[in-house]
Amino acid sequence: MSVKRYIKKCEEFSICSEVGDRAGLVFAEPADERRTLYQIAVKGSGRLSNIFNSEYQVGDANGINFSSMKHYMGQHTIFESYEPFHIYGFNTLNANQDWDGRLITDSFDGDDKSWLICFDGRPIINGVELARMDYSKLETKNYDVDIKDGLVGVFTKLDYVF
Amino acid sequence: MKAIFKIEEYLPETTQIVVRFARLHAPESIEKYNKVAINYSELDCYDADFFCKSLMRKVGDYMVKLQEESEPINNVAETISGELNLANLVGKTIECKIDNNRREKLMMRRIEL
Repeated sequence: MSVKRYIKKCEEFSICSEVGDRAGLVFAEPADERRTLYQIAVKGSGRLSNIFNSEYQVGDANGINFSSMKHYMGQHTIFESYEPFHIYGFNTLNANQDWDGRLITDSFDGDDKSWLICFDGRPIINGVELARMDYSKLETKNYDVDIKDGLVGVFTKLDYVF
Repeated sequence: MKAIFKIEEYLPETTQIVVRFARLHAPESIEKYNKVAINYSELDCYDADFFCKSLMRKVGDYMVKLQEESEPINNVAETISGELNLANLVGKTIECKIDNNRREKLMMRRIEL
């Protein structure tokens, strides 16, 4: 099979996903479509590089499963899988709008510029059990987190543009 | 194109399921198509949606494609290449590929916390 690709435009960002069932699968992304700020690996591993560049960045669900991809913005990129894989990308809708992203594992204070996305597992947050691809706009309050087997990201819209 | 599958057997002791696949618009009943044993530990069993997608990615897409290619060809077609001459193509049946490079919609659910 070839790589299956998915995308969803949400209110202030978009989420893309790529899935493949073996090593050696490749997909490219042209510079004018490259909006991924963070990559999240939930299964498998692979590497990403600028096209025509010998240096690359490795992503691995069992290692570096959350990576900033900001340095690839506006560049042609290519991904090659090392094994069956499932990755997500957090994308800005506007190339001039920066976001800060992080994985959370414990309770935290939210704010109204942030969004929470569950990428895997069934964590419980404020008493609500989340499923994969559940997302929520946060408020200025505390969020009680029982992460369990979850992989949860919080992304905050920054005030400035780059 | 829409596909269908039918699980004939569930074998938890060997983590296998036995499944038949067909196109929704297949000319025959799904019972007429071959069944195949699949190790479901290699599938994404997170929930029903991910299961269906990974089952089709792993086996179903290929099985359905095989079925389609084994069906009789009622339309004799020819391939073309090189310089295009639309006037010469009028009345001819031309073979080409169907590519689906579109990104599918990622299913997400907004919730309140």
